[in-house]
Amino acid sequence: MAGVGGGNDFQWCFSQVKGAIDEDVAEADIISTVEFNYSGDLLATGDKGGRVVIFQREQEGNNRSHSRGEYNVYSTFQSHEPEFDYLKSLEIEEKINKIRWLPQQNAAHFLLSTNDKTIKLWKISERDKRAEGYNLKDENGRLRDPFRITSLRVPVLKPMDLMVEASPRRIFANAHTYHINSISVNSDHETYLSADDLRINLWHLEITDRSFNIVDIKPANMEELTEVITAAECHPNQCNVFVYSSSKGTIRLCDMRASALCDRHSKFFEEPEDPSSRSFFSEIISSISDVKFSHSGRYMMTRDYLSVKVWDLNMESRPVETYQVHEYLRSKLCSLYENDCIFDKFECCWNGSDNAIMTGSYNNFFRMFDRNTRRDITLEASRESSKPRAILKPRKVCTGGKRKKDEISVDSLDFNKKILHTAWHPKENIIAVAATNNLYIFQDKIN
Amino acid sequence: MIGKGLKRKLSDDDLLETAVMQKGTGLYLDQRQSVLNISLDKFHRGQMMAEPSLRRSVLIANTLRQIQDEIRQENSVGVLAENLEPSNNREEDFSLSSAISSILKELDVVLDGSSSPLDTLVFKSDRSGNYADGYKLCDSVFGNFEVLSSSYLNDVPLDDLFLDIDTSVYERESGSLGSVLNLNELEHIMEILVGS
Repeated sequence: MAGVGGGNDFQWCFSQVKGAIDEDVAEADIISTVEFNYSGDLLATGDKGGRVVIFQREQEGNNRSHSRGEYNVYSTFQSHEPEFDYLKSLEIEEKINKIRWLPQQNAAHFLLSTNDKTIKLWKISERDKRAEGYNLKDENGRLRDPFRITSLRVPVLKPMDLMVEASPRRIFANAHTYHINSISVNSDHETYLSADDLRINLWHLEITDRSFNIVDIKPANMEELTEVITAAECHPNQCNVFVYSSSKGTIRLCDMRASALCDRHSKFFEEPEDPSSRSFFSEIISSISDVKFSHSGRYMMTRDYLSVKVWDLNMESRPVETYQVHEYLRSKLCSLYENDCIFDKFECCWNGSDNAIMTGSYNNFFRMFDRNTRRDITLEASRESSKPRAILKPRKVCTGGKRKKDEISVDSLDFNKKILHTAWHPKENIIAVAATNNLYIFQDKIN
Repeated sequence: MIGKGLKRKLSDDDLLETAVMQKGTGLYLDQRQSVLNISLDKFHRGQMMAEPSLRRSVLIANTLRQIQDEIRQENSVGVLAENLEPSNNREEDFSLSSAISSILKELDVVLDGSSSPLDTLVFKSDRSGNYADGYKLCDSVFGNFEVLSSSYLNDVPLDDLFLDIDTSVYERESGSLGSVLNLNELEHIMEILVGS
């Protein structure tokens, strides 16, 4: 059965799963963001407990030819701690909302991680050598008595077990009144933007005590507030361009060259509503939960509650492609409103060549769409299909009438098992799927 | 939630689920009532959460406003829905409308950490003289969405700094018992809306 993302014989296989098998999931272990770096050799996850775990891909030297390098833990560190705002008697969650890698410029790796209020720049560096033969300190690090030093020697570097250190290099704080939902590194590699519900700020990576406010949609009178910013991203190669999406299903593209405060957009993307499907929940399900530019920069993709849309940046009136993720939920919107699932924020991602897109759903299902063949597939991240190199079986939701064998009915879906975060390797067919506290890694089977 | 004397079968829950339905039908009004109740409940709960989400609150408030506008339109045009009792129609519509109006005004204040304080709240009494209580909401949400850090002292008016320590909340007679009393009053509001 043909899959998505490659040639006709393409199939997805299980590769690895990370995380505890326990049925009892600790809240802190819930993965809240997943991101590959530019080369795909590193895979970072952030969780609700404020921790970042980075996996590194093994070099393929000694491996069997038909299996790719595995991802193993490279570094783990506590990025954010819970804080307490004494003025408001409010706790500031340590949950990592987003991680974004910086392009690699030297041996060290840099990433930005953010919680609701504070963004941090982390440097991850390796140490595999240790200096020995210090003059002022002895072997144990104790200071030597200066009177006993009678000769000078040059310390020598000796190899040691690899140590990976993470250190915070910059802390960008106090610039967001509302909750940060997005960060995005600019293509100039010097600046980045951070967005909260009502404002977007532009930062220079070297400067922490200042940021420029480039979008502010807070009304003078908060009674008039009807729309919030839900996501923002820098254009992949035009460093003056960025987009932001809203809770009303609109996307605004802004050009920072036009004015300092980008309250007026250069382009406004909105699909006219279909009056025949209007309901009490129309606005809520139109709220965009994620926006991502294609690698080429020619398209962008938005995710709303029921669908994924691909937009051509040159056409504002409607998307060029629309993919239904789980249309069978449309008749269940009232229940989903009641149990809050309708507010779930699903992310979406492109593959390296922009010909396939992926997004998550419920019951640990995730969906992939091939833009060329228009084929789509539903797969499941579960322990049952977790044998090494086991081919993933396509799943199907039965929407009514007679349920076929192997199909699952809408009412049996587990809405607590949501796949909100997925990532696609920038060059190869390797995907990372976060299912609550587990991280699944799947790759294609080479036939 | 349902008009008097009308029994509902279990299967009608499925019908209530249907997102798109004919306006003006009894089923539509039932769903609208249901969504209204759920929305009010959600909004109140949302404000009491440890991590109130502005996006969620705005979406719920918009849903409530949408319903309020619809009801207002219906009242002004004089359209009477099928399953409301003819004798009580006007009265119920007006009390529903004014109750929503007062709650939405609370919403407005609550969303805005820097609005002028309690005198902007309009409390409508129902027939037995009880007031909608919004103090609990305001107290917990004033500035919830705003963090006053030093870099913001420049653009936050001085008055707003003192909103949090507004002590009139404690001086108010009926609010003295705190959350238990507030819950009772909230429930009373719900009862008015539900018309039972």
